[in-house]
Amino acid sequence: MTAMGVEVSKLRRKRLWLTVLLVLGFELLWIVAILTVSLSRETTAPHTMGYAIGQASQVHAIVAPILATVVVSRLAAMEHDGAMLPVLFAANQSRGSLFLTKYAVAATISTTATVIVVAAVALVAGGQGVPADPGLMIAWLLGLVLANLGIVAIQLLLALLFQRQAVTLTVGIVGGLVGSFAGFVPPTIAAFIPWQYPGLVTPVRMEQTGGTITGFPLVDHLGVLIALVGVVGAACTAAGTAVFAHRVSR
Amino acid sequence: MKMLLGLVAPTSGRVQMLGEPFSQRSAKRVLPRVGSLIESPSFYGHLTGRENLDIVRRIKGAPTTAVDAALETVRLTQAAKKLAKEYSLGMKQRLGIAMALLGSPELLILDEPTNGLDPAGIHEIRELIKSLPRTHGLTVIVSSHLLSEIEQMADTIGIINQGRMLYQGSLSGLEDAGRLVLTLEDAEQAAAMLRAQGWQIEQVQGREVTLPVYEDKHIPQLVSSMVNAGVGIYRVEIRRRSLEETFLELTERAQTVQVAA
Repeated sequence: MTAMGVEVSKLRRKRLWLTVLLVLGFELLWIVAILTVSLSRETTAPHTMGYAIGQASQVHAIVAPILATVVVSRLAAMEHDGAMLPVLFAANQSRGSLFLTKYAVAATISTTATVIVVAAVALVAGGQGVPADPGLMIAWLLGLVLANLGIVAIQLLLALLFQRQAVTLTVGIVGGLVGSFAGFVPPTIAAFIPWQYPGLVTPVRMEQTGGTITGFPLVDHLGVLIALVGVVGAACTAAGTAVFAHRVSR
Repeated sequence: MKMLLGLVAPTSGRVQMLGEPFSQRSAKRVLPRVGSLIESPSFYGHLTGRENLDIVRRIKGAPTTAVDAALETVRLTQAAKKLAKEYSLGMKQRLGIAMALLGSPELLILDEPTNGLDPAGIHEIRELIKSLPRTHGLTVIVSSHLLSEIEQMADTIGIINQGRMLYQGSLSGLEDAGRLVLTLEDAEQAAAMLRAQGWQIEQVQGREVTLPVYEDKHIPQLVSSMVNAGVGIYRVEIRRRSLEETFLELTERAQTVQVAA
């Protein structure tokens, strides 16, 4: 708890909230615009909550890795800019503790942003007359929260290992673009690419016939996909902690 | 220095700190007893001096009062509420020393603490470092390439060249007895006269006559014999090699031995 309190204290005057607000605000505007336009049109696909999730998840699959990357990058840059890592380690803060603390902060921010996005989709879709489907929304939210874990762990490890944040940011942005193709990649392949997890755990898949969207049916084995994403996220966190903890120069 | 703090792993050999072999396990016990300032001053620029110290204090588990005491020691109390990025280099260095002092360490490790400072800053940091063993009862290890600084600060020194310890011991152990150098109007004539009187002349060069260091009681006799002979005396002094000259001699000798081997 001390380490967590210290990490939060370090954020004073950093205006991290502004960065999050900008990225999240951009995502929300995009989602609201997409939902407003698509739900106001007459389509062959029924306007269900699955339809709204299918539309919104395309945006979230791009933005979620970018938001996670920007947050961890800011958290790590703070240490690199002030050359504080040797001071913290020499003051007896373990490398593992530092990684896990920053991870906890970044995961909390990403989770909060995810809750806001899911709530916004539910509200906008509900406002357009789409019937509520709490079970589906909870499944999507759970999947997205777990999907963030692996991305945050990998991006945080990069951000702490590389002083130049351009490396981390580039990987995160490319990850976001890769994530946008999640709907077109078979789950067996997407399972190996953590940046595609926000798309992988979307509970519906777009169905088309002759270039026309005909519906968003539920995906098979959603529970297995969510569990897989959770397990990989936990594994990435453990691996990231171990790699950073044993990183001592020679 | 980094190896002593577990920041860099040794390629070979072992590190012992405060009587304990240093390892990842023992670091938990050893590090709280050690304060350090490694390389450039480290700080969170967006936080004030006090906030920076409070972060390190909480990590070290030191009491809240330790922050004020550390600020007082390094004379940063007045600037405690100023953002660290607005500090001068000397103030940043003092902030780094204050961070190192938190937790009442027994040993303080300072790596190049006067690097990049102007003469006034160097003086300020030197005086601060010199006062710490007296005021805080701790041992300070300072590494520096500025040998004149070390000469003014240290009691015990170590000379490391290419990873090998060439000398470790008291500073006085490196000081030679020196030579008695007379600067005279006519060195050749005076040297001949002194030799005739039984004085031991080591060297005559230009206006200088070099003798071994005689006890103080012999000096008036030496000077009066030259005055009586009408020799013009410009200067009588004892010259010792500086630490820099000793350092160069030691390192050159070590390199010669290495090449020969």
